[in-house]
Amino acid sequence: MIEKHYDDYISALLAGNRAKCTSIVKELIEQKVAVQDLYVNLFQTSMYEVGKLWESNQISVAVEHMATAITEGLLNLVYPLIFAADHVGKSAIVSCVPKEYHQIGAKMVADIFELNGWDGYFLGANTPENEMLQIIEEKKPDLLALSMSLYFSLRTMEQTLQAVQATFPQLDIIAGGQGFLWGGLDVLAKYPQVNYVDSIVKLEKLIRNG
Amino acid sequence: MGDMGTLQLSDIIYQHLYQEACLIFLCVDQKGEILDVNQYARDMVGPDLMTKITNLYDVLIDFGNLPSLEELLKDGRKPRMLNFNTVGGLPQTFYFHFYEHDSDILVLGQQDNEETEILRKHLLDSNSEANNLSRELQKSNVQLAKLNELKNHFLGMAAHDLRNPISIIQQYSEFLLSETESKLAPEQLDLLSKIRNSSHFMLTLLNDLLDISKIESGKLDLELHKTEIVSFIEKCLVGNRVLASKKKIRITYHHYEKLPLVRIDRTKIEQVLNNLLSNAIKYSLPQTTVQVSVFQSGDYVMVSVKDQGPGIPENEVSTLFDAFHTSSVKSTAGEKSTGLGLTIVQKIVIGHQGKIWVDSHLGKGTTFFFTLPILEEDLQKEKVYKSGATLDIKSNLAETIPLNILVVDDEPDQVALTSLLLGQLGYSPQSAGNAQQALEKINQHDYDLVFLDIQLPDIDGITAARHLNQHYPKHRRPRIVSITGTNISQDQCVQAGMDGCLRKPVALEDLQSTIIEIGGGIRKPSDTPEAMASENVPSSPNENQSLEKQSCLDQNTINGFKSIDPEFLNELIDMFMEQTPVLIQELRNAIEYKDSEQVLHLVKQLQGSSSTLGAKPLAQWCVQHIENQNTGNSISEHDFINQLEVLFGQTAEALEQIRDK
Repeated sequence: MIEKHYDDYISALLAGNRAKCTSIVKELIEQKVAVQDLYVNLFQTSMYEVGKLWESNQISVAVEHMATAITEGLLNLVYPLIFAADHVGKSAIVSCVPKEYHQIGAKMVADIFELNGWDGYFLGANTPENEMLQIIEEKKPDLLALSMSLYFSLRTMEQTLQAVQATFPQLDIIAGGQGFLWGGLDVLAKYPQVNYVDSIVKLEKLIRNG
Repeated sequence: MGDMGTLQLSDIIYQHLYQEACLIFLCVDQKGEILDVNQYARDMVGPDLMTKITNLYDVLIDFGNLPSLEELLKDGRKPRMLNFNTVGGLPQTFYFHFYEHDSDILVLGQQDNEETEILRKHLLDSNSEANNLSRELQKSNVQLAKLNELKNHFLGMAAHDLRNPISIIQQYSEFLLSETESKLAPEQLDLLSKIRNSSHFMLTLLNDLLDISKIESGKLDLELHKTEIVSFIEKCLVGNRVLASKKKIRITYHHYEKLPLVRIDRTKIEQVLNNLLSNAIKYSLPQTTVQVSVFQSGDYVMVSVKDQGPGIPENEVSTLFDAFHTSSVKSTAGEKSTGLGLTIVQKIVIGHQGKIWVDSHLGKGTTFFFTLPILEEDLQKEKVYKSGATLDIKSNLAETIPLNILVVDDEPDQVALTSLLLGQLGYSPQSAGNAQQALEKINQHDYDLVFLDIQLPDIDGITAARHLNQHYPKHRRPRIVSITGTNISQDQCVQAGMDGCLRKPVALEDLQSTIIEIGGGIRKPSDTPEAMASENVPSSPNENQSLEKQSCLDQNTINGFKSIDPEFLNELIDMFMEQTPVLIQELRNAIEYKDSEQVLHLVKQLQGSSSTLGAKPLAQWCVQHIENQNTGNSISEHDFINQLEVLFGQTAEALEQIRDK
């Protein structure tokens, strides 16, 4: 179903045609396409494609930002389905590391938690470290998920991991994001309670296995 | 680099500037006329540049302080911030440099990229933030809905499971009290009474909680049945009269003899009535009266329960229907309240598509009103009945509403017929065979009412009506009612300044209701002695005025109320007099705020209350306004409300007289 619409969708997304994108997503929701499918095969695939087009200088950063903004808006259409799931009493805090402004991937991760019955609290882009620690203290989550979209944020990622570990040594952490395609797994390996999650499929598996 | 190289470089730069660069480049003469532009400027301004837009000052946005070209050139190297009209519709700010070149002026403008970048970042951040907030909001909404569901479930379970043991306590204590009344000491009996009363109160509270949890879970399952409301209420009053008599309180019941059917869940509406009545009894002192009334108001049946209790403080009225509302007003015999009764009542009434509200005055009492919609089929029947109604013909109408009438028609047979019919009502009309003759007669005599044919041989009726309106102030000209066989609309008649429109063949009933309806609005030109003398009216001016005022009201309706209960009529009048000015003020506010939905709602409300009291001209004015809104032919809101106030003033005076009598 998604394959049929994908080309139209990505063309509309790159042309900034928000109305067309909205109508495609609405149609897919009406056709009862699974939310996971929508996230992985439409939103994620198209955003990866947009990223590649930018990196290969085929589109400008302005177009990349526009496509991101449209995709974020489209997530709102899916929320009524996401938050309707029965909750299992577990919660995760999902956040971008400080100075990391690409939030859409992290937000999708938070939504996947919701879809699987967890409370997925999303803190947004560029969350200052002390704020993050404060919310962890307040919400007492079962898991912290940290997103890194750009490899340049690796240093901040490590600083964040150290700070969280120092205050909440027992807290399980997962890390992921496109930034790790360029390296950084060796840094994660230094922290035993940190798991690297490279895809939504793997994330769902991890959630279901508790 | 040699000459050739320099030349080539400037060519390259010029070509780039002309074709590719994101920089505005214009060449203008000393008057600002555009001589040449680059591609970017064309893209920004659009194809009209150089064809329709030919001067620099037509492209720049002028906020009233645009400097002259001379001034701009003075300091050409310093960037000048100016706004540029673009084809996209949004103006853009460019930083311009002005250079003199031979006799021409070169204008170069560029945007501040840093500024644009800051704007883009802010927009992206705002968008992300808004999306995050939307996510939080949606999550909270779902959480709240789930929590509310859980609360209702819990409430229902708790209340249900507690109900049985408490019922047992209540029943056994009741049993013990009746069985041991003669055997136990008064103190012991008192203890038992307390157990019984407390368990009874707990049972009431649990029942209310169960009701609330059911209603809030969307389970207000109404079993609707067509019901004759007058006798239904009568039955509901039986039990309440017993309760009231224990406190020496009287319950009276006022109603129309017959009302259209309503579709209600009888158990639930009985619960509403029982609650309102038990509240009224609870807060009333002995030797007072609780009055229940039911009457028709527009498309609704309106029920009211009025007590003579202490009234509700104004600041508590707005929260009266909230769950667990507590009032500072104390019951007169220490009766307890669960604080849920009115919440349930409100939800039941709303579930029936009705409305509920309260009118309370400290020290005077409280009246609860609620409405129930009349069955659509009954409304239709009623409309058919009204349109084909056979009124009682009043052969002495001319005595009650004395009028000088002129009948204008070119058909002698039609004149004869209309005169014959008017004669049956006691009138002796004069006649005119064409418009010219009619206008001459109107000029010479003081007619109160003119029945005017539309298709006249000389001047048509519409033109004649317009002429009368232009040449006479409204209060000095006769009222004009068209009698026509054409398909002219009522709106066209009103627009021409007529007061009514009748269709041929005209029935006697139509003539009579027209005279009753608009005859009351007629003001005689009695402000000069001559005019007084010329009026051949048998009554004194005071009597005449009184008749005029009273004809604002349908005497049948008033007499009907009088025959049922004069006291009730007085109360209806009081209510009308009290509420209508408030309503008119609300109407003014709604008009000011251009809230057309509220205007329509208020006009309908006013139409309903006026109809109830038989204030036909007022009701008719409201109907007219509603119809005009539907057809889009409305007069100005200002004129509407002004006339409305005039009509209300006349109606109020007439009602005062009836009240005094």
